[in-house]
Amino acid sequence: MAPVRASKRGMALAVLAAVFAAAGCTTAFEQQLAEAELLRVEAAAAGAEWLQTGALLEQARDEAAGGDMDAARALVDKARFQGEAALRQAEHEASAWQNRVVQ
Amino acid sequence: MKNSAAMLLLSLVPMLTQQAAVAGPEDDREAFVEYFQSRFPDVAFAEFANGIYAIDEDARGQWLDIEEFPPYEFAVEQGETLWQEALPDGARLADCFGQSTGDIRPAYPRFDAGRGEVVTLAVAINDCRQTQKLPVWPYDSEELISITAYLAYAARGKPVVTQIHADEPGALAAYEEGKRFYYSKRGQLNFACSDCHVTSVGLHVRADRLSPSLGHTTHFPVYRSKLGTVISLHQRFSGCVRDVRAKPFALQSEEFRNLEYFLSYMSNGLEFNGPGARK
Amino acid sequence: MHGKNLKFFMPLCDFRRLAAGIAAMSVLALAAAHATTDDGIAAGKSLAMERSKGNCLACHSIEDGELPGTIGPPLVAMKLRFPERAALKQQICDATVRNVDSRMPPFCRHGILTEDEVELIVDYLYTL
Repeated sequence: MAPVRASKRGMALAVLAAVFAAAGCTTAFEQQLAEAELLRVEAAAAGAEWLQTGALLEQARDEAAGGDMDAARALVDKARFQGEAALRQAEHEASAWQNRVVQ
Repeated sequence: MKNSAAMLLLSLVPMLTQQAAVAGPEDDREAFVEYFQSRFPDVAFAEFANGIYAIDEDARGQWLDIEEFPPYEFAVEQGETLWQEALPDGARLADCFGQSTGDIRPAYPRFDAGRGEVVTLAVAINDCRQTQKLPVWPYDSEELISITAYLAYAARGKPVVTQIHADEPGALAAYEEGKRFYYSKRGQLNFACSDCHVTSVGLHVRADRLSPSLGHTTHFPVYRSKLGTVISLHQRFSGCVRDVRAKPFALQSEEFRNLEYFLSYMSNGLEFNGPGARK
Repeated sequence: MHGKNLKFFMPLCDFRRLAAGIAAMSVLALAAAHATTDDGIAAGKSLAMERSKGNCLACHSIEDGELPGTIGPPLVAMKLRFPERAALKQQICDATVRNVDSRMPPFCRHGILTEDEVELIVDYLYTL
């Protein structure tokens, strides 16, 4: 259940981020970062967070603080990808695990 | 006509699978034991308490050599000292536990109906510290692990008797959560515990052979040669979760306690033989 | 219906020429996409061996690789086993497409390798 809600919220945030980006707002990066962070938290709530997602977001913040926005954005994209994939995995496993039970 | 019959059959499928999922723990355990025995027909049931050494002759030889001078002996001695130590007010850790020393390890993990959760030996020891107004030990601390090593040693030869009482729905729910954890794929590498320790059991990951899950909990805590220290079952869980590139849960988290409960139940009938020694 | 449409378009183009042209274009495109070079094969091999990348040896034996795993089949005669490049690539990118129960990590779907990295690994695997 949670992953479905998460993807809806994620989608809304993605649209918001796109609007910010299109308007040339300086906060677009922060928006993307917040969005990826939200996905990570949702994955964690589903018990499905991947090992490196948190570290990717940390590195992204460091790069942004250091002024390398391209590197920062690439790291946020990776973290976002991981958050989404982890949520899809959790959604799939919600029933798929039963097929592995030793009978 | 044909169509409606097919529809009826299809609608039955979810019911059937659901029924399979709530099959009793004892059915699960019997199927689990049967699986490993059919994979390793020459290995006697009791041998599975020895983990990888039950199925690997070479590793077993090295292990028997190591056991000549057990590397966990120091931890057992340190644990015994801490266990006997009298606190300022004269109380001892042992006072919290009603059983004789050898019966303490086999009493855990147990489902505590009052708390509505699984209590492991490590948690019970820290609970005791709290009632004695002492600071709790971190779950990766030498002190706590040493005491579990001592209590494991004292329980050697006693059978694993994990209880799930039929009149306690919380216990069954905790067991089911542990079972779901065990069979669910996780992490970037997309592995379930069962992918390696059931389906691929005995096969090599590079030079290492995958150990059977039957008997996984009997020999902890375990001295790891490559780490040069004794580690807890939950530290091993954490290492496995990290290896599949998932974020590990905290030691003694609800997730890991439920997993321990499930795995302990699967090992019912084997003998406790901790602490162990592993690569 | 179809015949009618074909007749309608027939005078507008020379189908044989068109087909030949498309074929030539796709051959060129394929050649450009998979220009297999010695450097590429070497890069593919190191991606296949690296523990943080393909780490193929964890589960598969590969020619001179030391201490290989035995979980997956040995990586030999890859051209024979996967005559179609796309099938081999898909097997690495997401093995669950072919076998739902596969224990092989879905390398592209989970972002363990990029598609470009998998192309290089495929180049290398086809030398085995």
